[in-house]
Amino acid sequence: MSFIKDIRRVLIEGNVLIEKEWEINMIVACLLARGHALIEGVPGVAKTYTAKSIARLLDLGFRRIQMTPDLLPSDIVGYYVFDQKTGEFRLKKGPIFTNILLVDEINRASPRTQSALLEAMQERQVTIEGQTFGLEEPFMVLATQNPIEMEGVFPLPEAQVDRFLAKIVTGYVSHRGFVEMLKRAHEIEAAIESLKPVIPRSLLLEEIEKASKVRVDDSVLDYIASIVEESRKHPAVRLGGSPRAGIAVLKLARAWAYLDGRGYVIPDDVKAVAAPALIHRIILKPEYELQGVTPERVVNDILTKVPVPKP
Amino acid sequence: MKAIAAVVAVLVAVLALTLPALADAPRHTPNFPVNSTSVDLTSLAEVLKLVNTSTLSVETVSQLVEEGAISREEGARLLKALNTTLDELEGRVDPSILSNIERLLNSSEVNPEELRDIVQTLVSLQESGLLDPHDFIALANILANAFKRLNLDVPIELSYGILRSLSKAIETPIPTRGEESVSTELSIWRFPNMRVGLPSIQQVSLQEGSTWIAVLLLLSLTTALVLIYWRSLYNYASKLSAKVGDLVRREVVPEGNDVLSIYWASVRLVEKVSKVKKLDYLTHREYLNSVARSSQLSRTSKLIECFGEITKLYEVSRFSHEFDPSAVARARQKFSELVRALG
Repeated sequence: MSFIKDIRRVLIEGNVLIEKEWEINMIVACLLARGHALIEGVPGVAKTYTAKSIARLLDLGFRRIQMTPDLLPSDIVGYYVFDQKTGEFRLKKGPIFTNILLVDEINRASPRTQSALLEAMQERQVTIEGQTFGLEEPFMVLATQNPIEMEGVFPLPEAQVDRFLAKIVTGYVSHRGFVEMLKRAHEIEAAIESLKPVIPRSLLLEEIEKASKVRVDDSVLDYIASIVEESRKHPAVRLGGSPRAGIAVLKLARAWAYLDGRGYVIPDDVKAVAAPALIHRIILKPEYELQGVTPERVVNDILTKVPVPKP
Repeated sequence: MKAIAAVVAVLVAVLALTLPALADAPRHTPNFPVNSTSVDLTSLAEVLKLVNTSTLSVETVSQLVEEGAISREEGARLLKALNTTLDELEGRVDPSILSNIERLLNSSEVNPEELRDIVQTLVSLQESGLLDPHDFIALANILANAFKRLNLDVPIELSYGILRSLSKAIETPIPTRGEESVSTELSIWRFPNMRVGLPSIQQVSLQEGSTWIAVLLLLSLTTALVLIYWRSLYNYASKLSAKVGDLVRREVVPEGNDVLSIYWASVRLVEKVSKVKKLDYLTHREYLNSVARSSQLSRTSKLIECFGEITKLYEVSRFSHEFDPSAVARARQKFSELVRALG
């Protein structure tokens, strides 16, 4: 379990990524929970660097796709090409055949391409010309989207957003962090390139297995269920958390507890992951949205109402 | 000076022996002087004004609720009480008491540290439930005046204590005292839960031979101040504090011999000391952090350390279901240390 400490030591204490500890923890938690993450943030807040650094430190394959409206599903999953030398069709695997796939600006791709990607995320396999290929474990999609851009984008439908285990909202660094970053601007890229794995892939898979066995007391399950149910009853909410949302909270809470070195989940883990697991699944009533109410606020409100397990 | 103090002490002793016989009903605070005082709800308003004029603002009450100094219910009641005009209630403090206190204070026989020790003792008594809220307010009135006369800030714990007592005074029916008439002044406050019952300490007027009570109160205070001067109150305060500690320990003793019971007993204890309530939605770690941030406990890091350990043991016991036979013993040890940390 020391690998997360190593990651923090290298990336945070080594100032490779500045003020991104929470994001790193959340991405690793998603990886341990065998989920995918939707990263929302304006351009230039180190989304790609973060994903790339983690992939390098975990000895995992890393690919990046820049989504555009004319991108086809085959550009992601792959296709067969005719090899004139052998006279046979040869499979050319797409970038999805990797461990960590960074999908930049997912909402720029057409619904058809998005849908192909999301199917691969759900099934952890792709079908090309009728032939099914399993994706190598661990497999995680880190999709980014820009919250500002409204034109020329295809917003992800609710059902598809629901497939992301967590939504990680990342933002600007503080002034002090910014100055520090400027000091190191010329060497950050080289620093990322020079990162060495802190854990072999085989051990990482064992860690994922262990994280899935973290104990969850019935009272904590009850707590999770209450939070998700409350998200459906909240007056500002039009569509609250689904049962899948509850499962997402549970999976992330387990991973969060494991990252903290515990073999059991406590209510703090649930609180820590509730917002990332729920905010992209909550749809607000328009009148509340106009008043500036956000899903984050709703989740926080819920967390200050639902009693934690007692005694 | 010593001779005067001795005479005063003898007077108080004689009065203390004779007054119980004069009493027509048992008092609500055990061992509190068995008689009435001149303090009524109007002087309570005066106390609040003396402590801090902003105490009675909506913002301050809201802030106190947010800080956990008072509960939401207490806050709500205070806000309701704010609807009453305080100006109507001014000018009711007994001027003779004030002038006597002033004379004592001006004679430089009291130093601020000693005065703060009295406040601590008073607050401890209140928190342990030994002191009736009405009586606490009466005493706080005198102390707040003393601080003001010395040009000192009134300690925040006294302010909180007054607010808590005010809340309790509003909530609880007034203790009975026989057939005396009900003061019409009560209606001025129009507290939401105030029931006109048999009169309490603050309802009994000074008119009918109750000069005794004023004398008793004055003499008690004088004696206390003289004792402080002799430095002997330190010993008394520490003994009293130990007694309060024993009472607190008895009150919060865990119901069961398991980590969970010990944790909840610790929570009850810490709530009393820190004034930070364990709200239902707060996780155990969040509560620990709130307590650690509480200004009331900034000087008692031992308490935080012990409570932190108990919290950890609770979490393991409650959520991991791993049985550790030594956990109960460790939790008990930390609980004992926690109680000791309270002095």
